Amino acid sequence: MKPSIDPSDLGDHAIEARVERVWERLESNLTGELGGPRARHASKRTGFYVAAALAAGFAGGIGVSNWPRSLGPSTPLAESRDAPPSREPSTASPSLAAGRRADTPALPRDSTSGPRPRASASARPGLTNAERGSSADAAPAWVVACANYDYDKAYELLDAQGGVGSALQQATNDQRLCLASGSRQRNQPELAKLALQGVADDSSDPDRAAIAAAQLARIFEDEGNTEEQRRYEQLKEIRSKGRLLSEPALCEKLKVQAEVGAHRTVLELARQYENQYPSGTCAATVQALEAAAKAKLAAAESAASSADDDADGDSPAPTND
Amino acid sequence: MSPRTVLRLVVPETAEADTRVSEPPTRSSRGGHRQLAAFADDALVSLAAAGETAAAEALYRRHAPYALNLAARIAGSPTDIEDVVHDAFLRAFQRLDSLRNPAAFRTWLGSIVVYGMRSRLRREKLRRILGLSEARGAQPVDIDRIASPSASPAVRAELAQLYALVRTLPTDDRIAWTLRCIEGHELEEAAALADCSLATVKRRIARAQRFIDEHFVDARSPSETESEGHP
Repeated sequence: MKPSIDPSDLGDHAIEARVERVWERLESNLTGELGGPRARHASKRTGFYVAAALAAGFAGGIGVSNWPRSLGPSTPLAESRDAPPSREPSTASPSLAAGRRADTPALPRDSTSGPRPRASASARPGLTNAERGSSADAAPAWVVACANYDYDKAYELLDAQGGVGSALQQATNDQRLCLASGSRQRNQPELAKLALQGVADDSSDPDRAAIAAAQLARIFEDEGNTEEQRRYEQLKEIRSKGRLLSEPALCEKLKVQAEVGAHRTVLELARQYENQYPSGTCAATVQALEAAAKAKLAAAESAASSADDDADGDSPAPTND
Repeated sequence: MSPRTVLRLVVPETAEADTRVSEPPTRSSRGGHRQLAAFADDALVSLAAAGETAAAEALYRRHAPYALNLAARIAGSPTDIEDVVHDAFLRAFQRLDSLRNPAAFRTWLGSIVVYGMRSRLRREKLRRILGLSEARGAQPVDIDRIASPSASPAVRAELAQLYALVRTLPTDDRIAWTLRCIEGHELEEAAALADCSLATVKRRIARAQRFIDEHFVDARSPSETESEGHP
């Protein structure tokens, strides 16, 4: 006897909250992971990290964050030495031990892309807490809780230890970023700002400072505080100074901006492209897009001045800039 | 009637359909991924490979429902599928440059999800063998999380029985059968997703189907006796 079941009788597991929850985790991992050799081409040291940070600005506030590399004490590499075939993911899904987000697998990297993340068996998917061993024992309890997304417990522990303020004074940048994530999830933007500002101001750690600045910009954008938003967007740029988008990334970004009608941005990016990659493979396209953007801006300004004549000073014709 | 035909799921064929399913919440409303939603997969893959986070998000929003449902239906439960899907997307984004046909992102992603699920199922099996988790079949099938809320009681009983049978199968047979008979993939695609040859996937599906045919009991027929499980 065989079953006879209608497809509509099966549940849909892609509920919005789940989709969003996975993205929250994914977004925090994307920095430094997105793309491949092509995206890492511009900066061997940090690879795509900066491109993602700049892309965040382009995306109108999509934040970038990088999961803390060392929320707690370091733990030697315990696994993930065996990178799987290119089309297959690792079975090990190593993630960080003490203090790093334990249930966020940090995937093995290409051998050419820099040092491997510390990993331990403490956070293999499918293992229970009891099975995870004691590698996280050395980290403060609130750090472990925070790294496991248990923000309520983390804050509870912090309160018992004298509050978040005192913890922040002694916390590493990674731990502050973790606390900021928790605060944002708990809808405590003031606490998140407090945690992030210390990181953003740390010029000795530009990688994390840029992440914190980008997140602060987004928080202030949510609050409608455009002045602070701009300030932190500028700070993010400053922290990211010296890191350039790769030639194909800049070219593609320019095409997208042209597509959505952001003509002024197109002109800025075109100038940037011509300065950085005067003989780039995309130069002809860039010139064409630049010319088109100039023409459209001129037309918009012309229309605006006509409208001014008619209506005595109305606002100019809109663009997406 | 073959389960191949009766269990086929409606998998959205277009990016638009998928985007509707995964309508993102408020925080994404200002996101650049919306501007990119009209782009085809190959364009988004190029952008994401070039470093655009918004393009990666657009790809994610478009294909997350597919990945989540694929993982859940292989597992027979949505428990813990987030780890697998997160892992799969991260790996996919990390290796976009190795994708030879960017338009085939969905299938490629699916193969990564399937690989992740296979690893997970095998690990669970190992844990059971080592006595670290409950024995096979000890946990009841969580039908409330498998079946649609609108499914009739009879259908829910059938589904529960089907999943109880399927999870006793060897991992590779279970995956192959699920891809073909629940997810509704063509044989070639099922082979690609399962990372095996066409002949192998056919053999696995046939083996699983034979077992189900032998052991499935129509819940609507009270005279029939219950299956005892895998021989």
